[in-house]
Amino acid sequence: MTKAPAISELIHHIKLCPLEFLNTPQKNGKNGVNTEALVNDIIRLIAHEPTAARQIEIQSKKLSREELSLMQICCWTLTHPFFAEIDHRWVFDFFKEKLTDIASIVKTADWVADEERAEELARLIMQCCGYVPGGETREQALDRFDSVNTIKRLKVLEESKAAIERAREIRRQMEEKRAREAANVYGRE
Amino acid sequence: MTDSLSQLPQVRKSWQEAWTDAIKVWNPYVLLREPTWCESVLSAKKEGLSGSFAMIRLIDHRIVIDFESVIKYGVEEFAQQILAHEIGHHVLIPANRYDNVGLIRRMRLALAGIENRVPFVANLYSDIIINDTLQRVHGLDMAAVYARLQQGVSIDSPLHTWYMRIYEYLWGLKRGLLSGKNQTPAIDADASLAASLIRSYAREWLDGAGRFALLAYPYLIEDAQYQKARNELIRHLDSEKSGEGGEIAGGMAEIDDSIADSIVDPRSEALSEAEDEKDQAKKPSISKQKSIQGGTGPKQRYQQPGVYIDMMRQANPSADDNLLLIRYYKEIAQPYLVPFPVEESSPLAEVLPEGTDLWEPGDPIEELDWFETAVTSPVIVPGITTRSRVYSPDTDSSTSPNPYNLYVGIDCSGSMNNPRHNFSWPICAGTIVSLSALRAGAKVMACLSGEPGSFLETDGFIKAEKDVLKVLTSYLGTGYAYGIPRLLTEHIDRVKGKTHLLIVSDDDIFSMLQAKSPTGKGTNFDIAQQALIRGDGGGTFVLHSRRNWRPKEVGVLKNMGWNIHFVTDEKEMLAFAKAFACQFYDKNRKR
Repeated sequence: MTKAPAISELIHHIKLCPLEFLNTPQKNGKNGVNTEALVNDIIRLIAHEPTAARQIEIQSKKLSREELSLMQICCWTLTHPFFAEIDHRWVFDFFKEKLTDIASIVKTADWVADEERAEELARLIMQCCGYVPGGETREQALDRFDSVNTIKRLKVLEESKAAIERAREIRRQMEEKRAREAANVYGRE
Repeated sequence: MTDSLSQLPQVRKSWQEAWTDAIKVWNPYVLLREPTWCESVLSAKKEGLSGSFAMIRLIDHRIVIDFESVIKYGVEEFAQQILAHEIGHHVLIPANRYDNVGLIRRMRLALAGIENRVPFVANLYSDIIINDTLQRVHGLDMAAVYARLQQGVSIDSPLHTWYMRIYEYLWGLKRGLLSGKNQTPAIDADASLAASLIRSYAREWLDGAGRFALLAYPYLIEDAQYQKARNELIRHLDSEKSGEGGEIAGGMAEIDDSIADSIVDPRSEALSEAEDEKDQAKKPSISKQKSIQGGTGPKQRYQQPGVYIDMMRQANPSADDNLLLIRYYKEIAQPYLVPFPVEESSPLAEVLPEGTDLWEPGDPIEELDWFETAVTSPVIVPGITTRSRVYSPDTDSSTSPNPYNLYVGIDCSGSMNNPRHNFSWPICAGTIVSLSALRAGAKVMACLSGEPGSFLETDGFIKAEKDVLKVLTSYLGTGYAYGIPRLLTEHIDRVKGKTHLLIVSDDDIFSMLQAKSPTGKGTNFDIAQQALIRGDGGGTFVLHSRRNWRPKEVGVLKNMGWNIHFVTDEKEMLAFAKAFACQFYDKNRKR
């Protein structure tokens, strides 16, 4: 079985993303990177089928600019030699289903600039291709992915927000009461 | 115990050897004295160390190590890491007393209502910033130290779990290695946010302090949870009292708007970023932040004195409340003081001979003083025995103005605010005029009076700023008005030069003036009149009252020669004090 790279290696690879992959995607007739062509080229590359016909349809009109940009960054990530050594069929679902939600809540630039977001992307890709990063067990990989998973984190934050606000409000009321009592004492001096 | 005693010499030797290496981790040029090595908990306690096994004092930049606790916690083999950590408090965070107060100041805003937890959270934040820098940048194995410290420790407090979980995130450690088994998704989310924050603000750590404290907030709200967390983490608390015994850091009375910008909950930040409603939408506006901070005093730019004292005492638990209060009012008065007097020189003044100096070849020949040269030596050697005369202009002026001495009497009756609890405009005004008078070279006598009841005054007319402000910032809260009989003080007669009398009071002063004089002759009006004559420098009443309320009595005072200044809002006292100081004590003012 092919040996998966360590997560740090993938993070490093993501952070080296060339500017060409970060350029604005072509959308609504405006000049830019043709994301669909790029994705198909990358699939041909990792499938070792350089002359194959179009493999996947990317409807740039229907997708957000952020999602198209994230696809381009993923294309760069997939140029890591490891992905050319494994079965490539996972990428179809990956490009179609896995990027929409996450792209809408993370700034595009963060995927390559922020260490944690780069790790999240690396782990997302590794999970989708069905491999465990080198040097980790499946449980460790899952736990670590959970820890950097933006979607999951936001869900938890949203759930705990109300509880925190409620506790803060109770504390504030207690303090106000205490301050009022103290003011009364001073007033009598 | 016997075991640890037998280990002591060996442990001590290895730690002493590790000291130089620990310094080199940061910078070989760091100047720090060797730590105070304590062999028992008792001797460490005498040095101010209790609970933990190491600490730093910012006042004398001294690290204290307790070997008995080091052995007890099993960390004797981590000398370099632990010493480097303590040095980190000296070179990185809080580094100095000023930044220490800055750190506390930011966290107090974040932990509104539970400010007593601030030193604890500040210590945890400092530690994590230092440890991550040591682990990541300097390559020290801090994770091993923490793994040892956390071995077999009970972790019941959510804050403890959260805090250790941050380390696990930062250093990619296995879940539970430091944080135990009680993680929840919410703790994980908060720890992951905190880990990002620590990395982002590793250099500008002051800017991240408020955010970190807000992340810790939910775990500290309940007193019982806080106590539990404190007990569990006590061995990590090495810099809670690092600022103890130091001088008072200046500039802390004023509210810094830029601080409010950094008091943002990373949870809300993450959520609002995700919703693309960044920045302003969820962050309170500056004006709202100011109201959170409770701005008071001139332009509402200052914290309440009670809040200021509380904050400064968190930075330095042994600070004197009175000195802090003096510092508070002095800082507020500072922008309104008259400028330092400057000496005017007259370019047309006569020049007078003033000794001799060496004449060297190259100097104008006419400056050579042959007589002095001959006196120095009969053998003339140019540049060795040759002398020239030195002249200086005579700038002595026949009209050197003598500032009036100042008697400041402030009503400190029950109707007045305690300047310690709430900002007091009369005390602020009194501080401005007193400090301006002292700056101009005058002597000041301050008197607080709430009579019938009590009074407090300086020992005559003095030049000691601290003593004047100590009286002004005290509080009596007795009686109903300023006691006019205080003006009978014989110090007014004894002091050299003329004295201006300044009395700050309210309407009730008229009842006081009409009361019978304690001398048995006439009323207090007579005392006021006599005092004016004895002082010979005029007098001013500043009354919190309306011009038309007591016209008859006001007329009597005016006829005596008193100036009456009415304020309907205490805030107007600031403008009065500024104008008064300028009129009487600004020597540089163009007349």
